[in-house]
Amino acid sequence: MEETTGTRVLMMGNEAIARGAVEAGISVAASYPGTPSSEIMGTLAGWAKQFGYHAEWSVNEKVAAETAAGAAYTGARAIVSLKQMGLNVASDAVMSLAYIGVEGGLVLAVADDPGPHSSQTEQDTRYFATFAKLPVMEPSSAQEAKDMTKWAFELSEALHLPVIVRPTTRSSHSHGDVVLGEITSPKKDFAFIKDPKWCILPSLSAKNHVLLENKQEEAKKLFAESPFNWVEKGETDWAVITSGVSYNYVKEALELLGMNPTILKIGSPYPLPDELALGVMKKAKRIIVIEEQEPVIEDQIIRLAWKNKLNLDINGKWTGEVSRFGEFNVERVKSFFETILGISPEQPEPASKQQAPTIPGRPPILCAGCSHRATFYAFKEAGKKNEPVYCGDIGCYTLGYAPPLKAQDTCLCMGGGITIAYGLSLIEKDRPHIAYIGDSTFLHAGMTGTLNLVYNKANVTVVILDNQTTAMTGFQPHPGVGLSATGDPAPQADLEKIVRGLGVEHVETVNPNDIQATIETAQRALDYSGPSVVIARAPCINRIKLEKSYFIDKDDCSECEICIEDLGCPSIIKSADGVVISDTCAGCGICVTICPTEAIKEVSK
Amino acid sequence: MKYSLVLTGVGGQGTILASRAISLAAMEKGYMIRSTETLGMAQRGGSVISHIRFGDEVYSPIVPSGQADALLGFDLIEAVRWVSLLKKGGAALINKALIPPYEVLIGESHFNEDEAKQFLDSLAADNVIFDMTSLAVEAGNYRATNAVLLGAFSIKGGSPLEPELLEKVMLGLIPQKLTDINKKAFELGQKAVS
Repeated sequence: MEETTGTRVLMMGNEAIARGAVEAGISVAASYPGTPSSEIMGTLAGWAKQFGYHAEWSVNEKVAAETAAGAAYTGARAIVSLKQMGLNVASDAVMSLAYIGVEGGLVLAVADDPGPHSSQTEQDTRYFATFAKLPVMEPSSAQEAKDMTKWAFELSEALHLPVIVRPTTRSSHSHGDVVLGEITSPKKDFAFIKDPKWCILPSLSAKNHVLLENKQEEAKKLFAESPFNWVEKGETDWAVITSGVSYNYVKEALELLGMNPTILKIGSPYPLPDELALGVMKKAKRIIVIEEQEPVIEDQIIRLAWKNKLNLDINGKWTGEVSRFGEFNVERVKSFFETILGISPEQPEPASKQQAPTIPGRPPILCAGCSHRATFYAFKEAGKKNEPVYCGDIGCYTLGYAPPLKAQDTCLCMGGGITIAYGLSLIEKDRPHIAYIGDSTFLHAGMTGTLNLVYNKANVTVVILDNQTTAMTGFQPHPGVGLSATGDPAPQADLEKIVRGLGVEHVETVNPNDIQATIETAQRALDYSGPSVVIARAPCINRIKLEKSYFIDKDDCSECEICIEDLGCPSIIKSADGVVISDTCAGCGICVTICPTEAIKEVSK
Repeated sequence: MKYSLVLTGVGGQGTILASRAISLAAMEKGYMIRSTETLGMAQRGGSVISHIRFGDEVYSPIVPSGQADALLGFDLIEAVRWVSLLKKGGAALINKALIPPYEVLIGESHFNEDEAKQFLDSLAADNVIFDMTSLAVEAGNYRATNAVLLGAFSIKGGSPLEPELLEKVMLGLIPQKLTDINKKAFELGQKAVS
C-alpha cells in the first residue's frame, strides 16, 4: 500500500476504513465476512504483514469481537469489522463490553445495508448504539471514513468505551479521492494488568451503569469538538439536519431546488452534540431532519426541542414526509423537501419521448456448474415420495429458493436452518426435514444446533454444502479451508470429525457431481432414524476450471426439457433449434446423468 | 464542471474495471470523485450498475435521474433498464450484443430486441449501438469488451478525459501480457464511433 502521507488516492469506503485503522496503529483486526463490510478485512489482511499487525477471519462475529476486546484490554488498539446482522451475533459480548470498557482503542466497523441489497433485515445500527450506549459515527465520504476511523480510536481511549463506525452500503461500496495520513506502527509493549474491574459481577455492573451514563455526556462534548459535525450557514428561516451519505443527497437536492438553507451535518448521530444542534434550532422556525433508515437523530432533536421548550416545526419521519424505508438518493431527498415545503415537483426532461419497453428481470442465479445444484437435485430425487421440508441458510445456496429448483422452503439467519428444521420435526413427526448449510456457515453457527439435534434425539438430516470457501461474500477462507486470512497455511478443520465429535453417528461424505452416489447417500440419510449428516463436498466452480463442456445431440434429444425443469442451469437454454447448451457451460456434467435419452455429450477437443 | 456517467451490464462482464479506469483518469486530472458499484451476491449473473461522478464539486455517488452525461451499456437489455438516468441529449454507447436473462432463456418471459433498439434510437442523444463483443473477439478476446467500450467513450463520451489518458490508465490496470489485445480493442472502439 501507498505509505506516503499527503498522497491523493482513489479508495473504496471500506478500504478507507482499513487505512484509517492502520494510520491509528492497530495491533489486531478480526472479522467474519458479510456484505457490505467484507472488503474492510479483505484490505486489512492484505496489509497485515507490511505493517506488522494481526489480521484474521474469525469463526464468527462474536468470536471476532471478543478477540479484539481481549487485545484492547492490554492497551493495544483493535478493530472488528462486520455487517449489521453480524453485530446481532456479537451483541452478547458488545452489550457487556459497554459496561466493562476497554484500555486500548476498540472500533467496531459495522456496515448497514439500507435497501436492503444483501441482507435479511434493514436494521439501523445507530439504534443498536443507542441501546448499548456506545458512541456511533457515520461517514459521508471515503475521506471521512478514513479520518473518522482513525479518530474513533482516540475517542475510544478517551472514554474507555468501544466506538462504532457505521458505514452503509453506499459509503462502504463507494469510491472517492482520499488524502492519506501518517501511518503509526503498532507498539509492542502492551500488557494486561490484573484488576477486579475486568470481571463483570452484578455489583460492578450496577456501579458501571452509572459511569456508562456519564460517559454519554463526555462523548457529546468530544463530538462537538470533532471535525465531523459542522454547520453550513444559509439564508432561509428553516434548517436541515442530516448525516452520513444523506448529507450528499441533501447538498445536491438543494442545488437542484436552488435553495440555500443552513445545514447541520452530523457525523456522530449518537450521542448527538446537543449544544451544536441547539445553536441551529434556536435560529430556525423549522427543522427538517434527513437521515436514512430510523429517526435516530430526529428523536434526539425532538427531545432537545421539548426539553428546551423551543417553538418550532420539526419535519421528518414522525411527521411522515421522510421515509424510513430503503436507500435514499438525490431524487428521493428532493421529493421530501418538495412535500415539506409545498413545492410542486419538477422532473428532468427524459432522454426519450417514448415509453421505455418492459425489460425482463435479471436476479442473481446459482452459477452454471455450481455443485449445490447437484446436491439439491439428488435430495429432491431421494425425498420424492415424502415431500420433505428444505430448511435453508445464509449463503449462495439461498439462491436455490428460485424455480425450478425450489430447494429452500425456509431461510432465517446464520445457522437457523438446522434448528428450524428441528422445530418443524417436533410437530411434523412423519415428514423428512432437511437442513442445507454451507461450510463457512456451519462453522459459524451450525455446530451448536447440530449438537442440540444429538442431545435431543432429533430426526433431522443436515446437509453441509462444502465448497471449501465463503463464496457469496467473495471467497474468503475459513477454518475448513486450510488457509489463514493472510494466506498462510492453517490447520484444516475436518468437518466429518467435528460432526462425529458432536455425537452424530450417521455421517457420510459424497461428491455431489456424482449424482447417482449422492441420491443413494441422501436416501440412506433420510431412511436413518435419528440425526444424520451428509457432507456434499466439491470445490466452488468459481475457484476451479474443469476444462470441458457439453452439448445436446439433436438426433438423440426428445425435447422433454427435463434438464431445464429439474436443474435450472443458466447454460441450458431454449433456442430456435430447441434446447441447447450455451458456451457458458462450466463442465460439471450433472445434466448428462439426468438426461433420459442420453442426448447430452461431451464436446471433444 | 460536473460529469456523471453510468455503466450497466451483467455481473462478471468487467464493468468494475472500466469504471475504475474512468475514475483513475479523472483522479489524474485532479477532479473530486464519487463512484459506486454493485457488489456482493447481486453479482452472480445479476444486473449490475456502476455510477461515476467527477468534477470541481460532487457529492452523491449515485447519479440522479436524468443527469447522466453518458450511459455505457455492456448489454442491450441492461442499457434499456437504466435509461431513465440518462440526460436529454447525453451520450449513449451501447453494446448490440446481449445476454438473455434466465427467465427469457427458459421461455418464461419475453424480450423484444427490435423494440428495444427502436426505443434506444429514439433517444435525443448521440446514440451509438454497435457490436462491441465482436470487436473484442477481433482484437483477440471477448473479455476485452470493456476496452472497446472505453475506446468508444474516449471519443464520444463528451467527457473532459483525453483518449490518451484513458488508454494509459486502462493499460495500467490489466496484466502486461494482455496489453496488445486491449490496445487493439480500445482502438477498434474508437474507430467504430469515429
